[in-house]
Amino acid sequence: MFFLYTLNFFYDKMNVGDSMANLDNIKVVLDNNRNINNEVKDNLFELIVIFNNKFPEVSLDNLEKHLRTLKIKKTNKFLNQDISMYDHKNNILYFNKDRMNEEYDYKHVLMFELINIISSNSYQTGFNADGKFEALNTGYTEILANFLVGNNGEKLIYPNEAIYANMIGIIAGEDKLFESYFKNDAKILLNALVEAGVTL
Amino acid sequence: MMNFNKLNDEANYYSELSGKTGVNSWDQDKFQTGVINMIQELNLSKEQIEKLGNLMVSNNQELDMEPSNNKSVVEFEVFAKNKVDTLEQNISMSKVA
Repeated sequence: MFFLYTLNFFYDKMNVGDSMANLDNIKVVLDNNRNINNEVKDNLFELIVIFNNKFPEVSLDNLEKHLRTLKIKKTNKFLNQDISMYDHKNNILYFNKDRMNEEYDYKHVLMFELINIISSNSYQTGFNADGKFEALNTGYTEILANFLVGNNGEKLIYPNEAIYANMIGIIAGEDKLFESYFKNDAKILLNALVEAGVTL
Repeated sequence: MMNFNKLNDEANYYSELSGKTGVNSWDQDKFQTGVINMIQELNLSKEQIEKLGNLMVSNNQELDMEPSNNKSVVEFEVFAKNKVDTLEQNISMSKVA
């Protein structure tokens, strides 16, 4: 229920970046990354294809750059209790060892983090600069992940954040949320909210 | 008066607290009231009002939280009725004109 409304416009064309990267390049870059094992590489690539098929207008240039040196680590030294975290500054994807026996849909979790990687320009992910829109950005990432691969796990991830993002999408315009996210530009969203009459 | 920055700060607070504790710590009822306050003066369409209404959570159990009875859902129903009545009034007045 929570995830359906924001996505109606996705089938209109929207160019959110001139992409030089294509799936063939990405496959080569991923294969050459010795930090990631083959099984994870296969899983990642499958999800990248799903993403690209649904959102062909979204540039994969950042993804290609990050995949060259991306590291994936399991740790029990998480700062919080989340199942996963993408450290965009150091290009490391962490999984929380202490929570990995819980009933998450790992395809969904990996897609969630892949979207973070795709939307990362190394300074921020999506429209979240310096943590100012942390919850909203997380919620929107969750909406996208659910749209792309669903969630067959027992555990919901960030449902409240997703509802928040859905509400903002209805008020500001789903297209503006999408554009703001993949262009790493919060001003697009803020201007759309002001235009809708919201007091910032 | 609720503005976007205050609502956003509230969302960030709940989200961070939930992450730190590992327990969903959102006060969903209070948050929803905040949303309603923020949108009071907006010119929303019937479709937008309906979609927002469908997102309002009446029982936090839907979100794997402790069961609740969120009064904000009733607040929203009142808000929605007033908004839709105004919209329909405006439509019939514009037809007369």
